[in-house]
Amino acid sequence: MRKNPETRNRRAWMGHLAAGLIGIGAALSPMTALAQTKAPERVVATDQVIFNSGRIVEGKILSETDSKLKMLVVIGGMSVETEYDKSEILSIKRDALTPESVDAAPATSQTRPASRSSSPVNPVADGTKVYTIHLKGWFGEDISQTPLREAVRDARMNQADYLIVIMENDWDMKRFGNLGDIPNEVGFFDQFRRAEDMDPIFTVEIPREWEKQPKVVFWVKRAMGGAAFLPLVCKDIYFSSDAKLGGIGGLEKSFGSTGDEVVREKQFSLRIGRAEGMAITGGYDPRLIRALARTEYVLSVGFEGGRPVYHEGMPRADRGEILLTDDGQGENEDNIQQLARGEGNDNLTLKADIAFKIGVSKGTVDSLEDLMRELGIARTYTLIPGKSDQIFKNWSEGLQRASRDSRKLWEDYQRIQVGGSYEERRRARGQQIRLLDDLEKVLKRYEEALNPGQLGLPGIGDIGILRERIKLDQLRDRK
Amino acid sequence: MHHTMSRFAALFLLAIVAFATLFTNVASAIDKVHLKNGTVVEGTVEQEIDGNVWILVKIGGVEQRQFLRAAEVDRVERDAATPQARPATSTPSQTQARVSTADRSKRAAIITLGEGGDKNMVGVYMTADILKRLIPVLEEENIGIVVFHVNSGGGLLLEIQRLSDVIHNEYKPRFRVAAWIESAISAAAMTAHCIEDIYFMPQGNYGACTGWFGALQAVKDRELEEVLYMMEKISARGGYDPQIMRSMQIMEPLTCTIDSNGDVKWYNSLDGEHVVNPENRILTFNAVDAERFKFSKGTAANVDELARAMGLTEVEWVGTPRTGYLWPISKAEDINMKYRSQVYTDETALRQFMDTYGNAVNAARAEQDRTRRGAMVGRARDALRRIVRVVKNNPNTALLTFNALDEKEFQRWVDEQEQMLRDLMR
Repeated sequence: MRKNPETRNRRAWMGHLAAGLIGIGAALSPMTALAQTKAPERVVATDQVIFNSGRIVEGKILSETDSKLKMLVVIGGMSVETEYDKSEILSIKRDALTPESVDAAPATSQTRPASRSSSPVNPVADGTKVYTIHLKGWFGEDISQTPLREAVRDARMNQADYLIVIMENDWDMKRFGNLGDIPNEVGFFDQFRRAEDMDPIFTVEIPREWEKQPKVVFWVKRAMGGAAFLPLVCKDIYFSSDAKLGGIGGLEKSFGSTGDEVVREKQFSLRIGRAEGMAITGGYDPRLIRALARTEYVLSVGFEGGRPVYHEGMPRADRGEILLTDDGQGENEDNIQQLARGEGNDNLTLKADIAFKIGVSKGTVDSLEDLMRELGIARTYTLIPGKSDQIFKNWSEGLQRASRDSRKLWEDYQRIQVGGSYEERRRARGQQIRLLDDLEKVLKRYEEALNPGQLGLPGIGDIGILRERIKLDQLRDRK
Repeated sequence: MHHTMSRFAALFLLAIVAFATLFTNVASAIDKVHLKNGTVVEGTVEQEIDGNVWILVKIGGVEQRQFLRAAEVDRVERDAATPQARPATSTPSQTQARVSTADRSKRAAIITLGEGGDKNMVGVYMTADILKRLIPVLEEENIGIVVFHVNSGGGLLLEIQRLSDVIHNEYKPRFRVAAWIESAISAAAMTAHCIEDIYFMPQGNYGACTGWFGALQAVKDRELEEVLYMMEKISARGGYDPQIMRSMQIMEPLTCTIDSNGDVKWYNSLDGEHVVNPENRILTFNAVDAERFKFSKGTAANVDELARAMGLTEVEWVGTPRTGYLWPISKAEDINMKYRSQVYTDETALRQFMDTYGNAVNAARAEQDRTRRGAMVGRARDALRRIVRVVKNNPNTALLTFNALDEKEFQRWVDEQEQMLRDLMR
């Protein structure tokens, strides 16, 4: 539970935590290295179980009784032993996934041709073009609509069948002058506005501009802060095993005690309403947004026929529900041990296991190969050597340059002394106007990602005023 | 009231027709799964395993995956067209019934109330004045159906009644009017609330109508009562229970019960079966809840789905297709868009015009040489002319910038300035 939402205090608090993390990190590193030497044995999925709900689970059947089925469920190469009630199961297909049976599966009317096929057992007749866009860096700055739109355009030019968007945004305290990750419980809900700038690329522009619709897949490695919203517009999401999606909690603290409660509630309500719209577009339950955003909101989930059924309250034991997020009050408040381990539940942070259980994630994959296998195109896909990495690199470098250049232009402007002879004054003013023109050009180019106020620069409107004043001064001047 | 009720009943019937049509005529559906009980499910078959079928169907614009067990399935009928050959459904050129018609009851236009970016404030980009100006153009285009597409984060309280009056008194008698909600927050929701037929886009949101000013200060006391009363009257215009809007304005709970006939009864307490807005919260509807609690008449992602939801079996969306837009742009909408574009330019430039005007006047006052003073006065006159043009395009600027309560007061200020500039040249 965060104690103080105000930026200045939060930053100081982050500093202490980061300093603490350095110590912990150093102490743990030998253990981490040890753990890495004992990689778990990979289990190959051979069997398939179809539930009454339509959910399909793949893995290796271990044992079977009249009422129970025990199997190693394989998700992204990792396996978990799980027991199911047979009453929930529609059919059991042993050895359905062995290479022989996959090869033997007929390409009949049961399989939709080319890119529409999504089952791993459905072979694809011809090569499937896959284009990847790797979203790295700070959300809203490095990850922004202009380079994203350009990368999607490149994918269209390359006639991609699959557009894989890898979300791995920066969630690093380096930005705040410290080390380590930003803790899960620190919320950046208002980065939602930047997600709103980008979501039309997927929801409006691709459907409108692509003659042949690609299958858009989000592969979440880290989607924190505003980045948490963007995958939700997409129906196909996969998580990596250490992925997390969240970092938008504590919305109710975002205005502190400013103004009246009813107006603050209005502000929260409209933000949640807009974010829920994004989740609905992707086919996800809007209550997940409240669970991600509001601390006092309590959400549990049960499963009926493998389908998630949400309950706004603490879990009911008789229904086998599990708690997603509690109210964070009193004894429910996350303690420092939970927070340090990233296990707090005052706000929901979706991790691979729970995201898969509730159907937000279709599977857990740790490599592109795994993802291709999950998508059923492992044997036929071709990776398009697109320009997206270069596009984003250019954008980020340009943004950094713009930030540096704009400050320099403003310093140069301020340094100009208008004095001397009439001709010297005229020249000086001309130079001022040229610098303002250049500053305006730089700010306009990166307007979506640069905040002039934060850089100590005038806004574009102010530049216009300054220019007019200089012109008027010139008019008033005498030889 | 009687007029409203009978109109409501007729539209409700149309909505039922639309709902039924939705299941049998999905735009993107190419596959049909015939069930043994006679039902036909249309959509896109994702996969089949052992006769079990996974199919994507569209309900109210929202794509949902359905699982049909082998035991239920009689046969699967697949469209010969591959997905690659399928036309995109959301481009204007693919809208249904593109045949031009003279029958105005089949001619529809989308009029946008707000748009993306910063052009969405009620009272600035969305005014009664511009809506009035559009009416003769819509009539000239022989439009019978006006759909207000709302995408606005709210704005000025003062404009709500004016907008409501124009829509209720001027538009409704002339056109069939519907609202299509992308985002209607605060004053935007209060504006749309006089419209009986509200449809949502899947991402749609509607509510958060609490009045405020300054540093999140709430409108209170007598002023609040006046706004609540205004919205009770506007709720009656739209045929909505006033308790819905109250929960969007103040922190009152809202629950409802849906009876066996599908009628919804609302409570500003926790007495109802479904909690729509819990205690101590402000209500904003999303598309799912709005449809579930019958506040909206349907959810539509594009004009084809909207036409179906509205029960329009034949419709021409009047206008010209334009790159980047999901519907054809009618002449009226073109004027509307140009208006917003001009306001946007003016908003940015107004501060500059005012600054230039003030500085030019000061410079003229300080100048002893008449010729040079004339140049300063000329500059001031030019800036004043620009200010007048901005106010002419959007009269609310007079109040927002010059604190002038009406156009006459603003004109008096302009007259004074012109007199002062003349005096400077004497």
